[in-house]
Amino acid sequence: MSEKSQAQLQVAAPSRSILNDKWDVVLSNMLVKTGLGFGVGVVGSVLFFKRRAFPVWLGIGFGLGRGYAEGDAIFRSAAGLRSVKA
Amino acid sequence: MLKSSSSSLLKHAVTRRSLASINTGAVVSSTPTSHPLRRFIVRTTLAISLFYAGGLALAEYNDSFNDIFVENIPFAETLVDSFESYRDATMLSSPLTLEELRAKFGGMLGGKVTSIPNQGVNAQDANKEDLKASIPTKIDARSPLTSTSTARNDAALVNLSPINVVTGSHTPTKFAELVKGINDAIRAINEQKIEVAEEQLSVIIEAHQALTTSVVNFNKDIESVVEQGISERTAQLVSDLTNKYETRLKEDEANLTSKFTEELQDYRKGLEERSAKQLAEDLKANEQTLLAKHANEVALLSITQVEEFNKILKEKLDTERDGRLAHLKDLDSGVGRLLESVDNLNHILMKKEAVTQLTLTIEELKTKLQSSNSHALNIESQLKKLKSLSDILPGKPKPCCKSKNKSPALIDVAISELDSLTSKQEILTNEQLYNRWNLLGDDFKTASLLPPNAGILGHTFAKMFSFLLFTKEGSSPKNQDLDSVFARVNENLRLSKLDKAVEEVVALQGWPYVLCQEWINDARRKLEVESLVDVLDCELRTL
Repeated sequence: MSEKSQAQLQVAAPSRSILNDKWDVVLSNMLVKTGLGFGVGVVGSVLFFKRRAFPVWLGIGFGLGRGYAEGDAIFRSAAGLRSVKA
Repeated sequence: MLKSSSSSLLKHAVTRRSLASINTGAVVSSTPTSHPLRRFIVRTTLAISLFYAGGLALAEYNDSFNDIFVENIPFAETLVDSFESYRDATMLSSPLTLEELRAKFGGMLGGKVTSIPNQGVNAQDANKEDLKASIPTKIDARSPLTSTSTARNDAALVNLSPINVVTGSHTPTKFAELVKGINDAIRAINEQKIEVAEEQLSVIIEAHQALTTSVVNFNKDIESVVEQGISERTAQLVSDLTNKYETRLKEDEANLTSKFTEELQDYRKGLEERSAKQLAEDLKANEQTLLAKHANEVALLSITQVEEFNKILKEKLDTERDGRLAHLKDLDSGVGRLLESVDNLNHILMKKEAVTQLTLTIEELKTKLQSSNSHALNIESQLKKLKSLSDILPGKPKPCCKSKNKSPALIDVAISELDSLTSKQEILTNEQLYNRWNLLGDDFKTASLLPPNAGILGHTFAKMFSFLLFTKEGSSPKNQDLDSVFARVNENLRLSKLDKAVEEVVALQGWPYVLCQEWINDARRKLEVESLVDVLDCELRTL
């Protein structure tokens, strides 16, 4: 009986996981964008710059920058925050 | 004289024959002459007459033919009208006989005309005596006519008339044969055409007349004899028949009398048996009726006696009640009051018992809520007990002093609220709440370093520098920094001051508040349960 009542209890996401979740999203997004930049750099290097290294680094930089911008926006958003007018 | 008369008759006959041949005109000529015009006229007339007669006859019997006949044939309408008028006249005219006409117009007819010329012979009833008397006269009169003879000078032809005798039903056949034989002999004589002298003829005629007379007399005698015999025989037969009838009558009378006597005896016997049977049945029925009547009377008597006995008993009881049992009513009212008191006592006892049980359960709940188990609290059994006790609890107080309705009582509301709180979510113990607060410590430190509207760099640096922070311990009431708040809350939890801890946490803002929101909910639920238990406890104290 007690097990059943326990199973019926509401399982809510813990509030302290909100910040960690945001970190997860930001890091994964940064990784993806960096990977995309790296890929674009490699392709550009092969196609247009005779396999030189700088297009690859440029692509990685673009990706990291894009990831940072989006992560910053994610952290600054008011999602989950209580706005209190003091 | 006879001879002269016969010759005159002969002449007369010859004369009539010749006249008849002249009058009729049926003279057979050797060369037949043809008359085509006359024949044509006759045939035409006959044909037209036949046609009109047939048409008239058909028109009388058939209405449709009548219409066709009248409309299409000339003179047919006149003919039909005249025929119908004639028929109606004949049918409507009264059939008066000549005698009636005479009676009606006797004065005119009777005096003037005595006899109608060429009337003929009137029919009259024949008289037997006259008839018998006329027979020989007839023969006498006819014989000179029939025995005519063609006389030459002295010879005459014998021609005798046959004997004509009126034979009745009684005339014997042998007599008829005799007369027939004589007539055959006369016919044979006539056929021989014997010529005799006048004297001989007269003798023959006399002999013939004598024979005729004797035959007629014989006929008369034989008729009288036959009639006499018939009358004698009839009388004898009548007497025999009468005797036979009388004897038969006597026999039949005797038979009938004996038969009637037997039937009467049988009928009397049957009637006696039936009457005896009926009498026995009636006697039995009467006996049963009398028995039933007797039983009814006995039952009626017993009922009457029982009623009398009841009446006497009632009177006795009334007298006893008025005497020894006079205070029975007081006793009854006293018992009634006692019953009410017992009922009230029962009511109070039940209430007290319920209140006691409720108090014990509340105490048990309180003990559970203050316990320091590492598992969540399970107060389901206590809650059930509370529900059942509140159901049977009599005299619940009103929810408010000013409210008019007794329901819903505060205790019921509190129990239902408690049930809704604990049914879906778990109630944490103080130990659990303290542990969960300590788990929030690292994140709390990080959040405490976050600037307002921090971006990714702010979060990164806050995480990095949170490792460099020192952890405060103990209570510092005046400081409002997050480390002091965290330390105060920790201290309050350690001292089981959950309400104050919650108060501190709820006052947080920003990311620290977001971090603590779940803990706040758990702590608030615990506080609500404790408050409800306190409410129940206070309510029970008022009962």
